[in-house]
Amino acid sequence: MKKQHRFKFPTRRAVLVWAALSLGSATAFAETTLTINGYGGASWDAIAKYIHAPYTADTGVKVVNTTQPNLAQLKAMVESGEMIYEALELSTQEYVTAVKNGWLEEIDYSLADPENVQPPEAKKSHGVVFSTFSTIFGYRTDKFAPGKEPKSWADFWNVKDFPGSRAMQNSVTTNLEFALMADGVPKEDVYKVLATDEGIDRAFRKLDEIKPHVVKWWTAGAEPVQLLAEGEVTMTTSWSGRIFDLAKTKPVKAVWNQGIIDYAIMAIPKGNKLAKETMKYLTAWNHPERIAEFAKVTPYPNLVPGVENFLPPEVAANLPSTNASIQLAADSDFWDSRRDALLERWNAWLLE
Amino acid sequence: MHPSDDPGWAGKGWSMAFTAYFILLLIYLLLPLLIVIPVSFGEDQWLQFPPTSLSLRWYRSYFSDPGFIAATFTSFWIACVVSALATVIGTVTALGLSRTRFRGKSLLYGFIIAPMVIPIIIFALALFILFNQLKMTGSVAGLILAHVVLALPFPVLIVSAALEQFDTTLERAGRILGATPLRVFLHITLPYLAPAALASAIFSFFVSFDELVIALFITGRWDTLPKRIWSDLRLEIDPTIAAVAAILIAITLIGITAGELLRRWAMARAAN
Amino acid sequence: MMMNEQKQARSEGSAFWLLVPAILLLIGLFGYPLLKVLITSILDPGFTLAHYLRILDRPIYLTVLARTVEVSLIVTALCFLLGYPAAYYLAHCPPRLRTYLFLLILLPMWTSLLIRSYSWIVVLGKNGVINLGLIQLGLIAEPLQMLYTTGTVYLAMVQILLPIMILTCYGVMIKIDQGLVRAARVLGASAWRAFATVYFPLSLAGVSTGAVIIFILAMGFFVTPALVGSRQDIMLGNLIETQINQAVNLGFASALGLLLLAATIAVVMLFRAVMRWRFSHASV
Repeated sequence: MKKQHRFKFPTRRAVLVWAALSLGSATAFAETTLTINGYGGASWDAIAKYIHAPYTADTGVKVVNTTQPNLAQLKAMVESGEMIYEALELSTQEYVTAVKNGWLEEIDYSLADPENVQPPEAKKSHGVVFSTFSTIFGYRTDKFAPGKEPKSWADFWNVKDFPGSRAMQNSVTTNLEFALMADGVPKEDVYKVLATDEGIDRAFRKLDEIKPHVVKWWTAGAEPVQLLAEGEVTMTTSWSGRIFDLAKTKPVKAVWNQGIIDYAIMAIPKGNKLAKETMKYLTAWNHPERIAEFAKVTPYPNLVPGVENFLPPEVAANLPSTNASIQLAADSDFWDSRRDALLERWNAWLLE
Repeated sequence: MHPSDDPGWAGKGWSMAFTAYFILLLIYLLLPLLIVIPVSFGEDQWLQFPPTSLSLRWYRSYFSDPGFIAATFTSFWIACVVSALATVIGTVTALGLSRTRFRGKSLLYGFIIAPMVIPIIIFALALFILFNQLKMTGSVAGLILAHVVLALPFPVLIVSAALEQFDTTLERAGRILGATPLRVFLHITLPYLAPAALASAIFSFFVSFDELVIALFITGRWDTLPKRIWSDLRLEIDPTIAAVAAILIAITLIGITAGELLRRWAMARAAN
Repeated sequence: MMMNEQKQARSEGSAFWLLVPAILLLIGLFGYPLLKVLITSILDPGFTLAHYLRILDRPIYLTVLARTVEVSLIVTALCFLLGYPAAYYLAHCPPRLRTYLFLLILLPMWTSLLIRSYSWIVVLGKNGVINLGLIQLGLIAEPLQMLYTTGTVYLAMVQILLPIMILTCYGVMIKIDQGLVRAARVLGASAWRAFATVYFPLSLAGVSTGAVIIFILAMGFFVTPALVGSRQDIMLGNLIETQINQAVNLGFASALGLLLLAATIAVVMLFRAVMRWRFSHASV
């Protein structure tokens, strides 16, 4: 710790005293300490409690959380070879970008999953799926007569039969897919259609239709929940996690049909000197009973089979993984190849 | 300042209108507070105004989370140091700027206020690269210095404005009457600059206390308060942040009232 | 006279030392690291002007820049119009009250941006206080869409930045020698004339400091407009943020950052030139 305070300035001593006081516990490292960089918040508190603590008890390896992974930071870190953490959380798109640029270590699954617990789709060449989440839509049940509720993106787009204002995420990813499904493209063909320029034009044309009815293009995950709770909009796209909680006290329902399921991936930065130990640490995510405890706090578990067996049925029914068959899996390769141009077009489209 | 200083163009009607205007403006400024305090006593999982039922749930959630409390203290402590450093360096710089004339001065001036202009995320990235090379990522000193650079434009601009009005003949008179430069500074310049320095200190404090982006990039295992709040908000809104705001507001109110009472008591004692 | 000049020169020499700490700090922690990043905007990976050509090639970047400048200017003007009378009130109210009034103005700074934007939902939303009030009064039948408009962006940004204008104006007003104003009155100037010709010019230093700070800060805003604004309320900061966090195109992000910096400095310089011209003009 001391080495880090090489700068001399008037309060140097105060800084050292404070650092010793507040970080004292962190200096007493055991033999191996792994620092894992995730997005923090309540879900990473749960990870520390239900995934990391048992792993430390099993192996003696200490695991510390740090927050806010960031690709720009990863790039700078790999280039300098100076690691400030051993593993990090990435979205699938970030993952594809990072792999392409050579910023990640290849995973040795004889270390990360020796008992072959994880399904093949969880085992990426340079990272493991450790969490799944969906982008779906929710609506106010008090605005529609029973039996006449929206069930698909076609209904979301249909403001005649399902009147009321809408909100959508300010993001080109997922929205192009939703637009095509609303336009009648079966979910299996969405990325085939998007692969052509005509397909992309078709998606934007369909988005033109809903544009006047979208009062809010949200950016923070907390916003859609708030909008539905207040009744500010009748329908909104949303991340799947909190609508279920909201439905306990508010007339709100989630529609999983045609949702888009996506992953969060745990990956190891290239040049990590503790790469082997970190790969062994990935086994911490192979216990369904521990994942289930985590899922009770944050309903975004990984793909390990058997998690549902340890959960109450109503919780299990509202997980992205249990609704996977009626959803579309995000195609991160498509987005990686087209993102830059589509982002620009999206922003210009919003301004029109 | 004395009440009789009122220049007197404001008649009674004017002064009532002024007061009414000021009250309306205060309501506008205080709106978030009028809402956040009731919300913090709610029971719901999201922000709900007015709350459907009252509870201390979110206060419990704050006080039972050591991470949150540690982050609050860290932020507070760092903001105090930043405020002191930035105010001293900024005042000194403003004095230097007002007493020198050289080519490229406006360039230097631009350089000093540039941290305020440059998109903070680019500054954060630049700092990360630098600190990573120096093996200073995760150091408290690094964050403090970064915040000082970010806050510096406030004291420089505010104190410079005050100095523009400053009559240097007072200083010269002091010097002619035999006072040392230090004495002149302590007894003439400094008291004159005190209000501006105080305003600078307040702004610098909040620049550091509210700063998120740089903290996200360069702090390691420890959290500042904005960083902790941001982590919680990424996926969901959590009324704990309403409780935090209410607690901070209460502490400020108590602290400043106590300070004001103390000041009056000291003045009354001095008068006797 | 000569002695005086020499003395002045000497004290000026020592005054240079006062600038050293700030210069060192800024070069080490700001200039040097930033230069490294900005160089990447033309060296990514080899020398290229592609990033700058892209800015000129697609209309969106300059459109958004123009919008950012427009929003920032309007916010600055609103802060002046609302803040100047408030600062005046503070500078001339009984000192006992002043501490508390200041406190009230600064208190909202403790609340996070998300809470602030939430409070606008409560006030302006479809089921918000204003809509419900208007419906009860029978003035409207259907709730008005007030939230998520450009108007809300101004309302929210001014609320955040206004305390700066109040404080900087107050700092200068409190120093104005009231004797000058009274002298003008005694010499027969009307109250309004005394204010316009004596008081206001003296207070301009505070106004211009506040305006510069507010304009600069407004140019960098992007979280609040995204939270409370309409889809058209994109600021240049939003585009930079996307380039760094989503596209990881640091070269292009740096080019956009430099564009923002250049535009900000240009407007501030223009403003200062106008102020200086007005000053010299007024004294003639």
